[in-house]
Amino acid sequence: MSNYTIPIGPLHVVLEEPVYFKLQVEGETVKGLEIHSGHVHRGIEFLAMQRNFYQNITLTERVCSLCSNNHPFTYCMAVEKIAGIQISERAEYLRALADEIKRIASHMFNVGIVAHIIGFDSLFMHAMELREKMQDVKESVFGNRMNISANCIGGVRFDVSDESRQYILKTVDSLKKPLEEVASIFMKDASILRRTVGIGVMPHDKTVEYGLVGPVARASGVAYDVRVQNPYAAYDKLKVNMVVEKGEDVHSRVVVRLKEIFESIRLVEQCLHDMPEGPLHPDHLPTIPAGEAVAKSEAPRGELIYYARSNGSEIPERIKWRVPTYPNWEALNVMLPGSKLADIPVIVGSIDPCVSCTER
Amino acid sequence: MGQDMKEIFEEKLKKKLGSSYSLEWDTDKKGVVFGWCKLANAEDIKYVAEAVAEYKGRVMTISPLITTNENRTAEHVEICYHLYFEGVNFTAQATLPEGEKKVVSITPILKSADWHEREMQELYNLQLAGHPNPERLFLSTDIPWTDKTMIPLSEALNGASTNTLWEKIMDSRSGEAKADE
Repeated sequence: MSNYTIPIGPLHVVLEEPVYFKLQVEGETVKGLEIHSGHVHRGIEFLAMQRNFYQNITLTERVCSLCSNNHPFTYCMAVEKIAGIQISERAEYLRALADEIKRIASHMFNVGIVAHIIGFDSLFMHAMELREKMQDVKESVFGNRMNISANCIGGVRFDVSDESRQYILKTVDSLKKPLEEVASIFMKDASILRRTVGIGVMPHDKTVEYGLVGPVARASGVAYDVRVQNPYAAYDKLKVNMVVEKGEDVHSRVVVRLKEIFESIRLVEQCLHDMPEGPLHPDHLPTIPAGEAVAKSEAPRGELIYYARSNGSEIPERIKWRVPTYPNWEALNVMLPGSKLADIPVIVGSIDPCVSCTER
Repeated sequence: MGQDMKEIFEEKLKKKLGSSYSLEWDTDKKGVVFGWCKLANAEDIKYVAEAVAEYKGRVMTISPLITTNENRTAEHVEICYHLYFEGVNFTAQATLPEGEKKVVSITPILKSADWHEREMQELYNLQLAGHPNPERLFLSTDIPWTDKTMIPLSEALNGASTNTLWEKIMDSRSGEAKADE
């Protein structure tokens, strides 16, 4: 059987963003791969150290679009830790609410994309149609479909009126039944099962060794969710039921995301039910003293960490962040060898990769 | 779990490092534990990594930065290793001596350090001692490493390339208007 090296990318029809895979194949079977990144490295960390703490809220929101809320959210938490700022309980709930709304939209996008890669385009369109309802929620509540500008240092920049509250509750409730249909198709449809079960296996021990995070790790039996182990915002008061699957394959990753959509809907309802009255943000711009802090959140793709250091000036001495996709890329070195060439797109899609996030 | 782990882990560190480090803990209002450890020698990071590996922990990220000494007469590379094990977030900080560019790799101990170390290598021009695959991660091979390589690529993508392009066009039409006129 012949051995070939096949280049995929940096620009390729199966890739949503530029990344370059150099695949060693024997016939139709992948034997090894090299990943080359850096095609959309924008030097945002460097830029963050040229701007003041407040300008960086806008900058960090533009690292990525699907998890755009988590960047300023986590950045603000790190800066608030340095400054010793305790945000109001209402602001904590509103931050969690924004987080869960974004998570629903992000997970539905990936679920749809996996269906599209498999070639099940009617299911893709069904999932994207449902996701559109969450996009409408974002546009109505925050005024924008992707970059929602929900956070500021010391709290949040938006509030939920009674009318908005009713609208959000009605919308998420209307999603439940059609989502159950989508989930049922993913669980039972033979063509989906053939393309996802036992494909792109990531064993539990390798998941721990590689330090994977998010739905990719939870689909391989690693029970780690920042909202549960290291709670932040209102997550110490909300009860998050962590979704863990043991299949270790593409199907399990989709199932984790599907179940997490239902859990996020429940959390949105709980937030809106339990949220107390209170201020949203301070009426002044707090000064950021010298110090350093680490803050984490559970972005749709997993653990996001921000490290911030201030020397007491307006410009941060260092802002560093690591996005969940960053460690998850390396999982492809385990998932892809042994798989068929035709399964590469669905395996890569199943880690829900974000190149813009990775390279910053 | 995080609270109990503090004492157990501190014991473990003492056995490996003696008293050649300082360690502070803080617990936030949600009960999340953060450890901040300053290492006397940058090589000691491998002992910290070994202690974390015993709990099947991982590297969350690595934050290198350039700091100056108190008199602002010399620049040092400081490296913050952000580690996670058993619910504890642990940052180990090591400062390289002035002019030192070599740093011991912890990837053989914690696989999760791999990409972080390779990124640090090319953005801060550091040499990794003992890394199993010290290949470039982000930067193209036609971009030379400098002490502050965070800058060139962002400059290249931050409109500088457009200026360069127009300057070339203008230069080719000698005597005509300059790009910035």
